[in-house]
Amino acid sequence: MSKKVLLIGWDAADWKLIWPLIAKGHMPALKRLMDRGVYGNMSTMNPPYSPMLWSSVATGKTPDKHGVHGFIEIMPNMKGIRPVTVTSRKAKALWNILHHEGYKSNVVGWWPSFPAEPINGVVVSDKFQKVKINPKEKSPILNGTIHPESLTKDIHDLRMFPYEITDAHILPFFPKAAEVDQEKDKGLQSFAKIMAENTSVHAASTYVMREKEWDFMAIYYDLIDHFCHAFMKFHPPKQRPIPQNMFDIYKDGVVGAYRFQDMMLERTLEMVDEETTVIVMSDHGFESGHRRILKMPKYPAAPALEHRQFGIFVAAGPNIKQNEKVFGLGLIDIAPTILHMFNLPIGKDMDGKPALDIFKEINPPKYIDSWEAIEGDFGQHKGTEEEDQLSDQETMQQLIDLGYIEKPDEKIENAILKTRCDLKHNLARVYLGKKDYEKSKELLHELIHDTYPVYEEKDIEKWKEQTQNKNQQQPFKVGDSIVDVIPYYMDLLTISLAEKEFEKAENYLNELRTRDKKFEIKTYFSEAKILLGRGKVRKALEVLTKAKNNNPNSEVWYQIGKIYMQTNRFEDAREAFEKALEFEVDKAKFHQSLATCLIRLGDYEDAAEHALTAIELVKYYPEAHYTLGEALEKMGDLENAKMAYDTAAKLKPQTHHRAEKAIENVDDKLSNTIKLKDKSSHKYHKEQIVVVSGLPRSGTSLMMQMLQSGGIDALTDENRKADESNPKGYFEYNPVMSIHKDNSWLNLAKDKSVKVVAPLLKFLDPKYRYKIIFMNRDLTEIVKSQQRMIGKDPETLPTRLFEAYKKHLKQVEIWKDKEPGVELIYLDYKDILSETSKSIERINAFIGKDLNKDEMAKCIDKSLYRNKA
Amino acid sequence: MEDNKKTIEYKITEKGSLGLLAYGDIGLRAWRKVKKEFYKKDSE
Repeated sequence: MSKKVLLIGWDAADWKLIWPLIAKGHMPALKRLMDRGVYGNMSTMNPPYSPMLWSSVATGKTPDKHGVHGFIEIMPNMKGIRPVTVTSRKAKALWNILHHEGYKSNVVGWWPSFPAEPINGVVVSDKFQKVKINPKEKSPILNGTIHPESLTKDIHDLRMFPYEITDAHILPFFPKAAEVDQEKDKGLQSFAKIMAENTSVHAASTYVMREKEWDFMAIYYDLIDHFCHAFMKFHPPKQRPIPQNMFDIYKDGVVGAYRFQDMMLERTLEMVDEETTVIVMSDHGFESGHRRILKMPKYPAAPALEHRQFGIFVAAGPNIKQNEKVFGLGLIDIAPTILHMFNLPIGKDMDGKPALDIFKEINPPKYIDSWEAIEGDFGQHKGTEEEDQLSDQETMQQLIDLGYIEKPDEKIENAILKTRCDLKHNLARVYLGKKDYEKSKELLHELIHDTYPVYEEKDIEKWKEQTQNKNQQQPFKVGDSIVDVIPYYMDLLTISLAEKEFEKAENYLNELRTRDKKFEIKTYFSEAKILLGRGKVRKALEVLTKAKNNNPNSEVWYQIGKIYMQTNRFEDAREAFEKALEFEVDKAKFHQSLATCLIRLGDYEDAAEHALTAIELVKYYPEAHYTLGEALEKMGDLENAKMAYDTAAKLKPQTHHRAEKAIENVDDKLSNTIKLKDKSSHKYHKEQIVVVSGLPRSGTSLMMQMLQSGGIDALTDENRKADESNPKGYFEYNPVMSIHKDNSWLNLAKDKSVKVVAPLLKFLDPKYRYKIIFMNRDLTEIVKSQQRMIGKDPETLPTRLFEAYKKHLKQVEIWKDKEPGVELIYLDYKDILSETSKSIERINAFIGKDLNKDEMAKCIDKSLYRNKA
Repeated sequence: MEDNKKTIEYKITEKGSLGLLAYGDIGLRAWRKVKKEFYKKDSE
């Protein structure tokens, strides 16, 4: 285990920007670190707001547990709002735990870390670098900015001020800076502020690294994130609405930030030895291609829209593997991983896991129930600080400038109310991200049912007075609620769709459209999902096709592909998924869906490749591991298929029934050399369900009767009585008809037989094992028999019905192929009549039980067939 | 590790440089020192 651990946070750093820079040799420090360590993607969380995310990094917990729910917080005296402070954090950070265990930590710039916690070591909080822009205004270092307070005199001069920025700093970024009209264009002012702040953080960090002993050090830079928010719109390729002169001035800003960040890294790495484990990571990525947003939409939660799902992770050190890519890391894994590096136990209440894959030598991790339950000195604050010191107008203004928060309402009670709603909403989104829909709904219902004050005439007047830009559109009118409930309805819509509550979803969609007429364009996914849920596939496809024609993008192609998959149009689905990937090549779900589609098309090699790419992007992706298993199994690579299924089964939070069945199948194949025909084995599975299926009038009732006579009880309610068409009875079970809504009754069918018509087979619960006897009969005979049964002319064959049946039979083929719990044989009705003993032998072998063959044979009444046919 | 580095002569001007900022506390202080001297001379 390494002696020291250095954690460096680069907010919003993204591989998409880094790879080309590394290729050109423009990020040599990071490259060297990668060469002697591991690298990979870092998956972000929802909502992707930096103070919430970096608190998750520090605690290993999701925001519902650590308590940081946004950029701002309400003051404890309820008299105002302020930028979020460490007092919002309710869970212990790494440095608190290390303090308790006798280690020294230095923490610089962490968001949030003000007021500095009294730990063993140094905290230079995120208040340190925030200075007044106006050189005439004083920027005193407030109490609580630095711990220990005595260090203030040593580092007070390490704050850089924006007015200190010279052309020697500006020109390497913007060679044409002289052309900027600084009266109208505030770009260089933003640049100066961001550079000054990050230089302050860096200078404080290098000072404490050199001068103070430490075991753990954490430094956080917002340089890349803030540059991206300010200058990404000018990054090449030029976007059409960007004026050429602006593009020429600012186009290299973002790349410059990465290069400067690397220069700072170079210096930091000079100050550590090779015994130190170094981690460089970001909390999310940043859109840099065609998905860049020039004008932020009002919904949903701008500006996080520009954040990409994956950030970066690089680690190097004495016990870290060399030059390897690692997969599936999440922000919540960092704290457990670092605790493990210090050989300390990981709290079982932490949401993350130690990233054991990165280590050369893996020691088993140690666990305790919770660090929160341990009493003692953790270097935390004891009481609340004086509130007035924590209020910070400059920081609030920066958050507004970055677009992270709206300008707070002038009326303080309104500002408090809006903040309270925002924080509650963020928490609801955390639960939504964790798929804890009940908790999320509870908060969202509270938010939509609350009564809020409305804007009055005097509010409009005040807004007009204070608005400098006279062209700015008035954001509200008299009578508008001061709290906008639309985002809450949007999340409720998402949840109802996830829970397949389509009626509720439709209500929410209508509510949204009533509240905002411009909404229609943006809700086509929801509309399509509702239509799909209601079985209106063609209509759903129409909605999406229209959306695709208006504004083609990856997501709309993906949704179109999913519809094609549902309707077994696999060639079309492949094309749609490939289109989605053309727009966005690093989206795991696109690769996974394409892989599933390619399996259905028999292209197993490509399927395996896409499943692997999906796993490379998101390791904790059980479906992708399962698909990889399926592809490998089809290719005959059973050993690896089993490994893939095993991983899928382990990753799935609930039991992955399909993976479990697939593993059993592979085991059977590995231990038997039997060539499986019709995807059937001769093994009896405990509690298996024998399903008799086929198209109506294909001999299913006869088969049910035979099985019952042979000794397998039929699950039937005998509601439908025997008649002329089926003189021996129908053997039907009423709940089968509504199996698409409720299949819980299948529990009653264990070790029994049940009749399920072909179109309903797909609703069988994958948690059981099925032996399906599918009755085949000449389609013309079936249709004639059905016509006769319903009193129509048997000689008039309805073509559409004929085609529909053919389609059902094809679907059964596809379905049985992809369901690992399903074994199926086809039996021909005619063969049962003409070769009864042979057929019965086949049935017995398939079911794997010794049935009473004589009794089964007695069920055959050949005269019945002659009469019908 | 610093011991293994070659010594590089580096002239600091009053305008500073990105390299100095990236060098951290030492770079920032060295630049401010030069800057202070420069403006002191300038005002004399």
